Amino acid sequence: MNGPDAFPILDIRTGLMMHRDVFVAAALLLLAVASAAGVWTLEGGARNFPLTMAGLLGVGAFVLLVRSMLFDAAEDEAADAPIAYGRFLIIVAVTAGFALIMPWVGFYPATFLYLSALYCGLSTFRPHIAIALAAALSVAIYILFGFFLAVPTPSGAVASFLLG
Amino acid sequence: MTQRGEGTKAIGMALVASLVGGVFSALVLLFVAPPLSRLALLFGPQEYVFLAIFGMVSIIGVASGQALKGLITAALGLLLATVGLDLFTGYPRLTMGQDELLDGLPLLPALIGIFSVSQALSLCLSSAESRASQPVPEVKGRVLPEWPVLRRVTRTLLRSSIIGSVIGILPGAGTSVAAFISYNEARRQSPHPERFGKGEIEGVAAPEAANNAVTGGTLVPTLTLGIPGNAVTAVFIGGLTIHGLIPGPKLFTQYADVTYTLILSLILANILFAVIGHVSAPWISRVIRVPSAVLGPAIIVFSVVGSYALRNSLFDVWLVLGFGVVGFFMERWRFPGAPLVIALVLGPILETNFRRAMQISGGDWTTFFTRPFCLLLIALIVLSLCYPLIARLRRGRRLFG
Repeated sequence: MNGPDAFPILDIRTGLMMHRDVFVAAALLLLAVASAAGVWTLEGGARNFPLTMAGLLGVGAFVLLVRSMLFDAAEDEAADAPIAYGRFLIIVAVTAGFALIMPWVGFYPATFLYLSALYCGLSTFRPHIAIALAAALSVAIYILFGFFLAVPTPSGAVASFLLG
Repeated sequence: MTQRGEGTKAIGMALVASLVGGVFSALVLLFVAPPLSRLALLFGPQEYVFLAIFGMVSIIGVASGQALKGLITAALGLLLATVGLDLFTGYPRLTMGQDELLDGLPLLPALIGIFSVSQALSLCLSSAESRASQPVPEVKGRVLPEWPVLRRVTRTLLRSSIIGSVIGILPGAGTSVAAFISYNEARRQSPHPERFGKGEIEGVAAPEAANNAVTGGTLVPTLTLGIPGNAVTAVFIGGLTIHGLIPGPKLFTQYADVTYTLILSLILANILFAVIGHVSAPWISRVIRVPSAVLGPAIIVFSVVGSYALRNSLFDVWLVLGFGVVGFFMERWRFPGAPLVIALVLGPILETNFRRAMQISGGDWTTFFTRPFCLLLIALIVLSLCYPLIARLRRGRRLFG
């Protein structure tokens, strides 16, 4: 199916962006141009290889862009497993929160908070069971990585302050 | 295979393949070490350029069915491999002002992110969508593969062991390249390449055998020439030096008792690993019974510990999470992740050796086409590129003939 009708940008029923390869290709093309601009001023052989690779990426992205626009891939894309974007964003946000609080509260307390939050939100367990499971796993992780393997982890500024 | 209730069989095949690969490479180390290491010594930067290109050719096989997207992710990987200080001129390239990127984009956080965190994110999502309603696959049956299966994979095991041993001898290539190339070769040689990635037993056997075969291969230049093939063997050389054992030909003459004991202990270690793995396999395979809602967040935590421990850097943690999100969308949007990783590994080898070769030759391009090993590697590359076409033509002739 070609023509203007073949390029729906937003499917109102599903709320999903259709023809995503067009957007991915455009983003990659932008990345290639930005990378080429980033190394353009370098001298000698330093810029040749990244410039060539940026060119290769740009050509590939351009071919993908043209192919995605000429051939209707909406049916293929619709056949892909749907992504629950809201849920995905929450999981990513909680994980980013885990990485953010880690240097403040320390790795092991942050792990407990992170696992508690996700187990309560994702699993079918009751909250107290989810929290108990998170606590048990956090202790197991401490015993394995902190006690036996002595793997360095962020101790936490707050924890260090409180413990002197 | 796990989804078909054959998780135990996969573990059993992985055990056998690891044993075969490990013992094969130890035997290579034992009998063929000196002549092979002399051969590797003849490799100059020109040969390494073609070796890297040969590794890149395997990307086409890995990204079968998504060739354009595979090439795009490979180009992205090669571009990302240039991040950091240029070793020849000292210019920072594409570091975006981040000091942590001056040493280059660390490979392990990228690997952990693309292959581990992305899967963990998928598990977190699937916990609510499907896992709750789907029955947990039953893991049953004997661990060790049956005799007919073993006979069927014998050639794959031997071929992969040879690939792993040879790649192990060549410094820099490593286990990832060996695993991908052997997987690619197994698929190309298979009468049913379409089954790969959908529970084909040879898809387990090939990379596992090659993966373990690299171990013995890497020790060949390490023990005979003192050239470490990777970070692990570099540490190993340090250990030998502490004990007064200087790697080189003397290890096989003056300190032969220690060296041959070491090699034989490598064989013993592989056998012990197989025995322990065989005993514990039924329990290990039960990991799939853990609900994905429990497993997903735990995998992310393990990934964070691993990435932080590499350089004690929170920047690496953010890299892992970033690559995890990118890897998640790459998988969902059918952009293969393997070419990106192969390109990240081979990119520096390709660029460094290309520029070194050009410097040595004074900018003369013919240097790449006048050395015998270069010509041999070029022939292998052309053969690898043409093989699918030839195979298709042969199949077509058989079909119509």
